[in-house]
Amino acid sequence: MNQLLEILEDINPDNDYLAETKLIDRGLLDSLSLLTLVSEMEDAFDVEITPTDLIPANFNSAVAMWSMIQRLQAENK
Amino acid sequence: MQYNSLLYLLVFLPVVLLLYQLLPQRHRWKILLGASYVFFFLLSRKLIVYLLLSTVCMHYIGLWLERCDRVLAGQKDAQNYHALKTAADRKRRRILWLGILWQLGTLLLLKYFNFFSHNADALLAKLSLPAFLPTLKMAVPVGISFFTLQAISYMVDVYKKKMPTDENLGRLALYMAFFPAIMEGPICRYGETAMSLYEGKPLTYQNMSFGIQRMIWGLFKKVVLADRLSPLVVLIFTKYTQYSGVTVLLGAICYTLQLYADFSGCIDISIGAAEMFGVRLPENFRQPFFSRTASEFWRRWHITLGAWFKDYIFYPLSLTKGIKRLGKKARLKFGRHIGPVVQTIIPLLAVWLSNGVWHGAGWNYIFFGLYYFVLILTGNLLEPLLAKTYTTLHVNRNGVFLRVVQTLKMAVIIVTGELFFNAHGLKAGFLMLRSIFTNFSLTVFRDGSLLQLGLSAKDFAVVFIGCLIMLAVSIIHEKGVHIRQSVAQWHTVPRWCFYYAAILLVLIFGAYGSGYTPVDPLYANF
Amino acid sequence: MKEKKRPAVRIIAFLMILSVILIGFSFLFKPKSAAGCIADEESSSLDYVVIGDSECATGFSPMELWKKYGYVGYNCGVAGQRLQECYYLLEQIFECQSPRVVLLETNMCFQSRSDIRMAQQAVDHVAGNIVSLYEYHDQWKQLLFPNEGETAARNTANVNKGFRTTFQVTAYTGGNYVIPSSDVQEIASAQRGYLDQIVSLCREKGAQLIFYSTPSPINWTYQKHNGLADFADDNNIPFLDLNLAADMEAIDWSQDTFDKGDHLNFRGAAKITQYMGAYLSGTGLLPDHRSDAAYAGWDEKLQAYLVGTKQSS
Repeated sequence: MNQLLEILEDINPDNDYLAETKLIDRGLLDSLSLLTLVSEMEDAFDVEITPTDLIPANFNSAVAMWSMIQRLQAENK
Repeated sequence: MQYNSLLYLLVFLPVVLLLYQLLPQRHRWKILLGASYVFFFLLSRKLIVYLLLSTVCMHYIGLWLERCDRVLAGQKDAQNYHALKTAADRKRRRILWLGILWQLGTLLLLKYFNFFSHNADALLAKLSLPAFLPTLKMAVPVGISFFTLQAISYMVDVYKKKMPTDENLGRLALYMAFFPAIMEGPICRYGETAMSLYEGKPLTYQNMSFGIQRMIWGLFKKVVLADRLSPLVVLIFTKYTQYSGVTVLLGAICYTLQLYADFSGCIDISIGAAEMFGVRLPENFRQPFFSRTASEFWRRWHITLGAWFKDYIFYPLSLTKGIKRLGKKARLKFGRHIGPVVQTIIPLLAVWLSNGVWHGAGWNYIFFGLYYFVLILTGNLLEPLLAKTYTTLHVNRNGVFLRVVQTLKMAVIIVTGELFFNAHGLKAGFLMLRSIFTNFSLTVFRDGSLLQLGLSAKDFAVVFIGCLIMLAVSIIHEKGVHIRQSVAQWHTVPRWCFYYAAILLVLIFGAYGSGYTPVDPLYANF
Repeated sequence: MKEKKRPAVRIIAFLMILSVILIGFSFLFKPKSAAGCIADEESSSLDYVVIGDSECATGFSPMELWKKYGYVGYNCGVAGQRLQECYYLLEQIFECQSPRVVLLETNMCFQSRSDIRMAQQAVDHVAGNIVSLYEYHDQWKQLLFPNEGETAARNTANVNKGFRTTFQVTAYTGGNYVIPSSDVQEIASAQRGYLDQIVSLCREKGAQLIFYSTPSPINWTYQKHNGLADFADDNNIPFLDLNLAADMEAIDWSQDTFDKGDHLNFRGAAKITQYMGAYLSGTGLLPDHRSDAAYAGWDEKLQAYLVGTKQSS
């Protein structure tokens, strides 16, 4: 989880990722940041994120992202 | 039936509202559906078949996808579950594609076949081959560009399991056909609107009052501003060769204003009508002329279309394997800023080509799309450089000076774009643009020729004051003030005076009745 | 917040005040003099009007009848007009004029419009009758700027008495278009409804209604003629089809049309007007006003008209 927060801070340090639960709905992550985020997540956690996973519910908060990553890691095994 | 006609405002809508309120809550959606189908039928007659086919298609695709999931869930304990899941995923993807092809196929056939056959035949003629593609005479049902996108978004969202399949055909039909939004959008998402459409909330004083106010504001923009500008715009864009640069420039500026007032005005009427039934439709405009960059403009102008392209073309394409690999290579080579931008080139191109083509079968629309593709891509590429420059020069990115410069820059960009958008063909667009620079003379302001364009000095005065009002409202909205809520806090006397003034303003200064040609909503043709 | 509890009372109060305001403004906006309903012709000064679409507007010159017979009338043709709008226009005309003869150009009888558009117009018409502010809202231009009439444009229109003059020539080369047939193209029911209303309006106002068809190879067919003749017969209305009139100075299709046989130019219109004048003088329905001092203005206009139409310099 800390690793994820580091990635997020790196992309855009202006957001409070622990508290914010509407990162996508409120437009706090623009499309370029989101794409950077996806590819860095893929590298860091060795998962594959497909278009199907790219829904606001999975990216609105750091917690949601983390649980998505864990789900994808579990599916990979 | 135009949204700004008395037939709609004082007959159709009140009758629907009355029937809606008289029925018990669980039957109310049927009134909305019935009214929507009557509305559609009055406009497009038997072409309603296309709407029905589209609805039935998305309904069955949804059911089919759900069945695949159920079958798979039943085999959870099977040994070869992994293989079964892969097979099911492949099947689901095929089902989705079948649905998309059906929907897009209908749209392409109806709207673009002739454009395609025309250009193909012209190409064949150049190669001295015989032309063989016919020109088909096809009537296009109202709103097909809009409801097709709604159908696709429903199927994709079900496929992505963003929400479950809806087994209720009636609810889907209402989502597709809801009359306030059928002509020009806003383009709705199933997950956001379908349930509230179906709910049959009772009419409330607040919803009615706010809805009517929103509609009056929309009527002001459409009838007072847009329709008054129409004769001038039509004249300059058809006879552009006869006018000098200043006049052509005036035509392009007036068209931009007309398009905004017309489209956003009609959307206000749509959202207001829906609000009366307690349905919240998505917003489609957010003070677009206050944008600072081209990409911000498209997050504020025709928002629901931009969002649709982003969600259903841009992201899916960006995350395909090939493009992700390209992005990784680019990041290694160009670093963290340029890398992701490179990854977006192909998806962005697809988005903007689609945007251009969606507006119509014409090279000027394709040019319009590519124009924004180039602008946005350049903006993204230059962003790190700009940021660096501003820091070195100690320019405040939120300072007044920079804002003014950026707003002016965007005005030039937007007006140029709309000039091509409305030009009668791509060539006419370039000729018009050229005449602005080569044939620029200020004499038109002195010799009175501006008053020969179909608008009298009084008309210009109304347009000018109307634009000031629109600007004032935009500034208030930009500051985050909710006008209707603030007015509701006023005392009765000033509040009612405000309402009466608004009604009279539209009634008196509207460009309707004898001496004016009725203008169809501009976006209903796209 | 007590007031919020009784929204019904408040809504009714709101609507009542709104009605008062609308009535007040309607009173303010309704044109004071009846003049202005047909350009700036004095009220009750005209003895005949011609109504129709562009075939009418470009194909009949009232000044020619003044010159020859001293008849006073106006060409009220409106391009693209349909029977429904024409009926509303006629209603309006009868409010300020009392013509003895109404000449109706028949091309409109076969021009249709979508049902929805007709319904929209009907609602607009009713609304305009109830709240005249809706109909006369554009009067703000005169109310706010009373001294600034668009007189120049109006005067030229008035010199020609509504006739749209064109001198251009673009020949029709399609040859004979009068192909006899006994088939009947019936007037569609929507159009027929408004035609019936026009007939009864003229009866009620004591005006003689006369149908006439302007020669036009593009628009006219024998089948349409038969449909019109049936209707005219049933309603006892004189019907002059100038496409078939053997006693008229023949239209020269290489000279008398400005758009390949769709509309007539000045030369064609003059022939139509001569023929209609002869017919009207035969009926004795219209008085000669040439020695009437009240119509002295017409002679001044005639001089301008003759210059404008190059009949004198």
